[in-house]
Amino acid sequence: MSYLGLALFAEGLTDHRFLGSVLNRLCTELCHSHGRTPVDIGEVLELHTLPGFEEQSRAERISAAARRAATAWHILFIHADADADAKAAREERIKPAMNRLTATGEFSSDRIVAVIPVKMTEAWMLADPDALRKALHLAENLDLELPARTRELERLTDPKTQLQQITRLSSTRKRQRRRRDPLKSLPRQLGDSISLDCLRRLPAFQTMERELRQSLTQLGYLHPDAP
Amino acid sequence: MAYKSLREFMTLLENEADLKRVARPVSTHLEMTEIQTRLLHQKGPAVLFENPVHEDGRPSEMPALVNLFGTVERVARAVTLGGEPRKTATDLREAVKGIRGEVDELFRFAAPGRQSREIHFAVEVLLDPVVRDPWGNEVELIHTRIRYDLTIRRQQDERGIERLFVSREEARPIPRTEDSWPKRNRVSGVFRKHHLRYFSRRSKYLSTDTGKDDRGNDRAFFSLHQDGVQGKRSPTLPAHEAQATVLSSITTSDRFKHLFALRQEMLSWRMLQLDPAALRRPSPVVAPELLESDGANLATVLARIKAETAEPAQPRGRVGDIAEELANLIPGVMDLDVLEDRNAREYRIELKTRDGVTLPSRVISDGTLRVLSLLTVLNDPQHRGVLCFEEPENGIHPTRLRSFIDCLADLITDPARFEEADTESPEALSQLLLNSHSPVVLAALRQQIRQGDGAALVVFADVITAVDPENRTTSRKTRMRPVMLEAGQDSMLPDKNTRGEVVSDYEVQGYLNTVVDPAEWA
Repeated sequence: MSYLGLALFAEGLTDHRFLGSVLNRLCTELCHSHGRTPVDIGEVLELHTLPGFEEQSRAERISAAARRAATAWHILFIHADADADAKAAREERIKPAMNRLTATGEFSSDRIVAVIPVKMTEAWMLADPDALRKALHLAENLDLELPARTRELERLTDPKTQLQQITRLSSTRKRQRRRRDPLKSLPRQLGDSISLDCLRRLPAFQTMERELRQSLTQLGYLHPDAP
Repeated sequence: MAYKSLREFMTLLENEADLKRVARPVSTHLEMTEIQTRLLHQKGPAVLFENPVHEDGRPSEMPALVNLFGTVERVARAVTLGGEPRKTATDLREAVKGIRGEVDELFRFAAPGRQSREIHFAVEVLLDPVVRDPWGNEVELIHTRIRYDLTIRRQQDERGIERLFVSREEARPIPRTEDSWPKRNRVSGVFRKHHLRYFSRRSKYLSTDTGKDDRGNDRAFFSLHQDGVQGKRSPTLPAHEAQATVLSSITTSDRFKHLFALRQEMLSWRMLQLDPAALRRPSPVVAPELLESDGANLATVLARIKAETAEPAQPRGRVGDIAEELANLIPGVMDLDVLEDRNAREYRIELKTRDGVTLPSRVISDGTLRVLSLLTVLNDPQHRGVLCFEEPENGIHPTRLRSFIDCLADLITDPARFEEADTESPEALSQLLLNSHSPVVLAALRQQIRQGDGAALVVFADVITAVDPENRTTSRKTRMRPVMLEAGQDSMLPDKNTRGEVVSDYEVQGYLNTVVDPAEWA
């Protein structure tokens, strides 16, 4: 029985809540289908900037938190929204942290996986209309006015606004007194229920999963000849 | 009686080699009584003389049974408890009664519709070197570290009723060389000398073995192995439908003293699940001596502690200490006393506050009563073993919580600070198991360990996903990981082998920081 510890440094709380659950489920599914041996998978550990490091560079903030938590993780996910340019996001916001962690030879690059949703994480949260409707308690056949093909979500100019509009569909019907913003609980709920197959239709998710599979194979969790 | 007939009780004894048949003719005049007298001295078995002979040589028409109550153990076994045979203290079904949920819900759900059939328990104990049985016999143990393993199986009986069976039971000495506990914990030399006793024995006290039954089929047996008492064949018990543990049947210390001590130890473990309503009521003079799980007899226990520990110089005995500790932890409380209401045959608790008001227990807050209950048990000279208590933070002000944790640490056995003076008036070993969600409790324990006092071990529990690709199963299970709180360990380089097995300093900090607005520290 081996153990697989996961950690995530994400840009915001929404990203932590949504990605934490999705990444845990993805690893579980991969180990279930292609694993070599039984493995225990922990919840994804949220990494935040350590107190006193607020003024440091992003690379230093990531590397310090990851080092402090080193006994807890085998795979470190670093999240950066692609915004306009995924390549630039990787070069500017993932690579420097990765270099800092691997420079001393303490952590191999196999253990670091980049999570770069095109535009932003909210685009991923729109990938499964059924899960969205369920999470927001909307009617099963309600049209959410999303692009016909999931991969086109990456072309939306502002997925965040789109998501907000959808959450409003549910909140207008609720009592006045309820001030709670559904966007607060939605990310975790969606992370738990969103279909991984829907997410796999997004090219950015495919890239991330490919990298993750390589890492898990390198670290010996997955069969090297898995399809 | 639990037995339909004497014959049934005899069959039970015979199956366990505690009854012998003698077919040879034996005279009822002098001969039989002499045999009986000698057997009684040797604590021997009961005997059925199948062919007694009268004084004049005529064969008797009826057999004679002697020495039936020749040992305390057999007497205990012959009496019943609530209509059930007292072969054991409780059977499995009885033992799980007070537990959350139904019996079958205790077995882990591996996947929807797939529930495991077995639960395995294991415990490693440190026994008090001297034990007493209910008949006042005192025995000294030569080995005090024992591991006990128990597997309980859920199975339908021949009538299709779901039942619990013991499928494996084992007790074995932990040899000095294999004992990692004193290596992982700070243990003083005096404690080592007085409490950690190892005997060179390797064989088990109790084991589950396979052998052939009368028909030559493979069958599991529980075997009790000799323990210092020579010359008796070790009894075996069939294991195929055991509904109680063998350990629970060891009710006297004479033959299997280590197993008896182990049983006594495990019987003393208690979990307090206090009920504020019950705590508020006065309790009858005749209530049980030890604090009950819901705390209903708190006043009676305090009265007994007062009577047992009173001295001319301190007439309230340890109740005075309890009052002092309580006053230190609960703002406004000055003093505590327990009073007897002779007419109602009850005891009741009273608190005196700083402003001179006397509060009866009816109006004392839940939190204060919880703190008082815990202090009472830990100050009770009759208390021993493990006490479990949930969420000590409930009902106590966060600024006093640290003092509370310190106070608790002072009331339990601390192997690190055990000194020669502690051996003069030996107290039974006492351990406290707390569960908590409070970062303040974690911080308090961390501070204690950093300062070198307190033997606390902190364990984080969380739920993880267990994936088994071969059997295509995914299940959720609880993981327990020790927290490394020793100074200097923070800077320890991560060892690949400990990854996921110990709690990282980052996680500890994250837990402590939960009371701070994330925006302030992230």
